[in-house]
Amino acid sequence: MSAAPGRGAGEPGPAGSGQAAGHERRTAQRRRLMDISKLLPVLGILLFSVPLLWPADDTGPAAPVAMSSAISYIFLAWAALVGLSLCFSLAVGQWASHWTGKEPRRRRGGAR
Amino acid sequence: MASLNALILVCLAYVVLLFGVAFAADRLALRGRATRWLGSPLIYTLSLSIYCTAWTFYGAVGYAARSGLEFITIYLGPTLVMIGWWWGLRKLVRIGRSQRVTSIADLISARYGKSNLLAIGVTVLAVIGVTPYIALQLQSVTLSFGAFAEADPSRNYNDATTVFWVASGLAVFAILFGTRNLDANERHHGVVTAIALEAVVKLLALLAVGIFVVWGIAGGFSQAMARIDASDIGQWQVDGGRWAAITFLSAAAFVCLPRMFQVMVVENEDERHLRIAAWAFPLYLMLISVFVVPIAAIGLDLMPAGANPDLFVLTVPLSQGQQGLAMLSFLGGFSSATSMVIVAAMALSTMVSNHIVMPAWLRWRGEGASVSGDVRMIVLYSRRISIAAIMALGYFYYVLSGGGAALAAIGLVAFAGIAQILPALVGGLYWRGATRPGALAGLSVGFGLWAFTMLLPELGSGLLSQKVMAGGLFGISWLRPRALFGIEGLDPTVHAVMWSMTLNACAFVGMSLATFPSPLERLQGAQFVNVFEHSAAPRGWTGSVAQCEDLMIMSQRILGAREAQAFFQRELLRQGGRGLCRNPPPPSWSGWSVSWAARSGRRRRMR
Repeated sequence: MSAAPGRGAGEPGPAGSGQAAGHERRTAQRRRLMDISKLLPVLGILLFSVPLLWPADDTGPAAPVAMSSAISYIFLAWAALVGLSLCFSLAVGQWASHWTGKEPRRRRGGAR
Repeated sequence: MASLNALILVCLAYVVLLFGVAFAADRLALRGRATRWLGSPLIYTLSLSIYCTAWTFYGAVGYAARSGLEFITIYLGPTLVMIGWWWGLRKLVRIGRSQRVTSIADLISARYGKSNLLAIGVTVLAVIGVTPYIALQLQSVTLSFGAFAEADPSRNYNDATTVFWVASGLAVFAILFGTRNLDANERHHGVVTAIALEAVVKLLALLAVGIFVVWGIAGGFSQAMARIDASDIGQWQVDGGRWAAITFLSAAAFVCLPRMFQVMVVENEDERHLRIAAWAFPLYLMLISVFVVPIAAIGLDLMPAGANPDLFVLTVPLSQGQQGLAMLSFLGGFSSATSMVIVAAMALSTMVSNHIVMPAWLRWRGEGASVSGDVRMIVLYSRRISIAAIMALGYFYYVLSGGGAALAAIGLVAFAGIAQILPALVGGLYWRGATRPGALAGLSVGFGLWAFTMLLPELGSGLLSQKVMAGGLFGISWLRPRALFGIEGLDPTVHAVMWSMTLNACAFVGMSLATFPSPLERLQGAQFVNVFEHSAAPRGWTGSVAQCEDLMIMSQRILGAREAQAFFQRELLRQGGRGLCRNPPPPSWSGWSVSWAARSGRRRRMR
């Protein structure tokens, strides 16, 4: 189910070739973005699978988890995911200039 | 005591406000002033909230009161989909925009070589899955009116008339703002802006009730937590299989539900809005569910034993004498129900009209593409009639099923039905080898198994006889609806989801490997799977002049794929062009109106 891994999830590379070092740097940043984009939902699935390990009834050796702890865990995990997603969106705004259509900040000679 | 009259007055004023907002937004969009904030990421994110229907507004609290934290899985699935937007939704939205897709049925049909049979299959599945869901919304509005009526015994109140007027009002709204004009992009600024407003109202309402319950009744956060732990739902008691299965189902339904597809893909102005929605929508879901357990636990504590937990959001403030808060909460529930029904009816009517009514009408006329004159009014009328018919179906479903608990289970049943589209959708997006027979086989197997293991046993006593339930179809014990292949002891939902989704995917993959795609399918497959190489910018098509390809895509929906393609090809050859129409169109095609495309009798030089 991966969307053409490697070069920018199937995106065409930067059209104009600026300085070689800057280009390489941008490619590395974009590749890192793609990695994060795939890891985020996996991390989400892992975090939301933790409750599967909790004992669900009184029959086992361990005491069942109290509702207040369960709520705290799930909402903390959820908030962490929202925060990470926000960070990813900011990173996309910074680095994925081929997609946002904006020139990357602090650098001259963008990808487009 | 707030009288029922006051409630009806507030409700009508709110409806007038919604009509006003929708009307103003439509006017602004018409004058081309829509881009600034009608088409902003904020509106887009808020419009996604039609995922939260009355089933989640009232039902989540009831669900929590019955089975603890399991309700939260309904929101976890969409959260996972949203945070994986870069390689999931982004592709879907890009394809939707580059192919000018109008509905989920249109997308599936376009991917598999413009197969109308597939589109009809998806449409039928959607209508069967969504109609009871519409009935559920009507029920929730009726129940919430009922809760107020109980508090005001002086009025004589009739469920049947309420539900009739609510259904009619919603149909009028959907017809007025959903079928005002025929647009190649199928965007409805008015409706989207109105549902964004409703999204704010329902969030505020639920937060207000939650804050009142936690700080007003329980006396603070830690006291509320202590009361939750002491209540009937004070322990983690979720079945692991259900936790995973429902999270998966809600993720699948979030993408495949016709109404979600409408707001997420069809109404999308700019793919880059996903960047904001990716964190803002999970945040919205989190906020809307944060107070559900406290309301449920304290409601269980405060209310008499027989009280319906589905209405705690309304009855807890009422029992504390908080009329204003109860009124706000009523408006929240009303908003959730109405926005869902309006968008669902619109999305379904587009599907029914484009894939069933219009092809049938054209065939019945027997003239095919050479039908003379303008067919736009006929398309619009067929959509209007479809909306009315879908609302009528929902209404009669509600009346015949008599409401009650049978309807409350329908939310998950609908999710599982709609999720059957997922293998064909995901396969179509990422796998060039997926074929039309594969998609048809997967859909049919999934639909059949879902109907047999979930829809018929849940809906009704009488639809499947006791003999079949206990002894299996034709007396074969491997064909028992709740224990396929003799595997017993699974939770019915887990059982149905597992078998229908697994065998659906197997049939889809197996049949795809066994068959070979047609040339058109191969072309479309490449367009879909490698969409980022075939379409340049995230913004997509924003030109005001129709291009040849736009005209062809639009006329395909009206005339049928084969006839439209043949007609365009003929015209192209006549004008000296070569190849398929999707190659760079000759400039002389621009500015051609669609009604012209339908008039093949008219032969004039495009100059």
